[in-house]
Amino acid sequence: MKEDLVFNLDHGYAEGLCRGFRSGILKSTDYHNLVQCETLEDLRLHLQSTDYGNFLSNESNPLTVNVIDDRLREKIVQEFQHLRNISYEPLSTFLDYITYAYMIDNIVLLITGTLHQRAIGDLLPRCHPLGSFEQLGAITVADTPAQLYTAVLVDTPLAPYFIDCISEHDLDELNVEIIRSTLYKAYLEDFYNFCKSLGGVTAEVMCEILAFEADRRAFMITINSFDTGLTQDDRAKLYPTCGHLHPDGLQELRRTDNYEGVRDVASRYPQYKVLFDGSGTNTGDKTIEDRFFEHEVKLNMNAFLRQFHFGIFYAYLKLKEQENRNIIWIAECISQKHRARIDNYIPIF
Amino acid sequence: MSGKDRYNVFPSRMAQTIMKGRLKGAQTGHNLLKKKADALAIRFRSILKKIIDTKMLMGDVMKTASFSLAEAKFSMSGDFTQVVIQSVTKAQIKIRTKRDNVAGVVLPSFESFNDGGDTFELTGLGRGGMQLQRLKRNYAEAIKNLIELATLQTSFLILDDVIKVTNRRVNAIEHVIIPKITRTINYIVSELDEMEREEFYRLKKVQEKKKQARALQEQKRVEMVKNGVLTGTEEEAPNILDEEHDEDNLFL
Repeated sequence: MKEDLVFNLDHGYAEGLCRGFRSGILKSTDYHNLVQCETLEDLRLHLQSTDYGNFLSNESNPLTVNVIDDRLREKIVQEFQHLRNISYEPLSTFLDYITYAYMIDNIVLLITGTLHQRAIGDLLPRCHPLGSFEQLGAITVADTPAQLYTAVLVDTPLAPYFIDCISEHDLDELNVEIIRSTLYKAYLEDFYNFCKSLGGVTAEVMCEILAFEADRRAFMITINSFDTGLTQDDRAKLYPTCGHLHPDGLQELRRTDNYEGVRDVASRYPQYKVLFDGSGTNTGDKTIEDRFFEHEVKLNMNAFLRQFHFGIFYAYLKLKEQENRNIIWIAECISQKHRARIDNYIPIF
Repeated sequence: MSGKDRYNVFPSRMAQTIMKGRLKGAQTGHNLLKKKADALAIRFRSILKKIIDTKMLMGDVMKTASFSLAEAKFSMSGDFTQVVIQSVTKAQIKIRTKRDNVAGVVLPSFESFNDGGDTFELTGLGRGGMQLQRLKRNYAEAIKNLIELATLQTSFLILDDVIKVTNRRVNAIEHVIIPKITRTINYIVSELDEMEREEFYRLKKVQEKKKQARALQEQKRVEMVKNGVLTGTEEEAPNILDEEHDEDNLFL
């Protein structure tokens, strides 16, 4: 209770700003209008009347989907960095944690690049701006992933994730996807513990969201690894343990070999049973991924119903990203004239 | 016949035989080339039809493939394309060329084979894996289509060229070589005829002259007989074989 009283001292402005941004998220009527567009020019016109305003006004013709993607990402990066700049502790640490996920992606990209002797200078512009860290510029000195680790990564905030799971030797050998998944597992568990330590409403809201993320990852890794060379034990090492599935669900998942098995495991947890029931693997059904997206959106929306916690910042970023994906999806359908599945975006409001 | 030329030969029977042989050869060659041109034309038309079908299919396949790329981008938040581009080492699908023979024309045909395993098996492990598998399948299909189209198009170009050359040759033989030979043969025949006529005329003239000469001689003889210089019997030369009694020369 006491936190609610003093929350606004440090974080009131940030929360207000965040809620302001959140009210600019596109509604279903906006999506309706966007879906009716015939060309990307129409799309641009419709976006002008929303919160996006004239963000595309300086683009030369012809407008392409890649340009729209870049501008959308720029906007969200700008908003997030502004929030980060005006934030105090512990909100700033919280926001930093959110950026670690993007850092992981960037580092995986750089490792892949060094593995194949690409010039690091080429890769730097392709990194996600939210995931940049100071040592990013110093990466040019390293030639192999092991060197990269000893020279650069040890000083980043991600170093503890490396230490827990991957040795230098592994960096060179393992498939980059496995590295990515291992890092993400460590990150997720770390973030979960941090949120728990914050306590209060933040802990309630964020732990719920992160537990779902962990379980979703476990399900997806299982499903996607069925026809590949990934063994069950290797797979088990990638399951994050901060979700509802830990520990028995994860054991079960480790032993399954087909989609039906995964469904059986999910049926023991009521919230996931519902999701799997509404999906299927036939074309035309909603896939389980779509259902996961929808559930995530719902959890993020619910975060805004409570006040005086940090979860709204995380939720806002995720919702904005989903909105970006929706807009790009609609834009691609329009530009490729493939309108059959244009309604497959995930509605937010 | 001054405008159109013929071969410069000396008109003789031998030349005529030789020319007739050449005519036969030219006609046989003409028939063979025509058959070759027809076979090539049939193959050409079938390739054209296949190209049209493949190109239509290509349009659809590429459309599906680009759309599945959009789908994959939707479910894989984050830019997976960069990681994929950076980790490309060598080509997974390679092409071998084989040769096809159509009526003597060598046409290349491309056949694809998979070299090495799928290095991107685990991409999209965290999310979007199913869309990625579909994407890979769609683009593999697109590549197969492209390879087929490549084979068809190279064959098309090569065949087009060869058909043009063959037709040119057929027409050349038909409209230039054979008429030239025919004209030459006609010329020889006409020359031979003329020579024969000349011979004949010469012969006739000589006969006439001989007759005249004999008639003149006869006349002179008749005159001389009349003049009593000659008797009528000198016409006959003495015949040794006759049994006329020769008086013996006795040297007493």
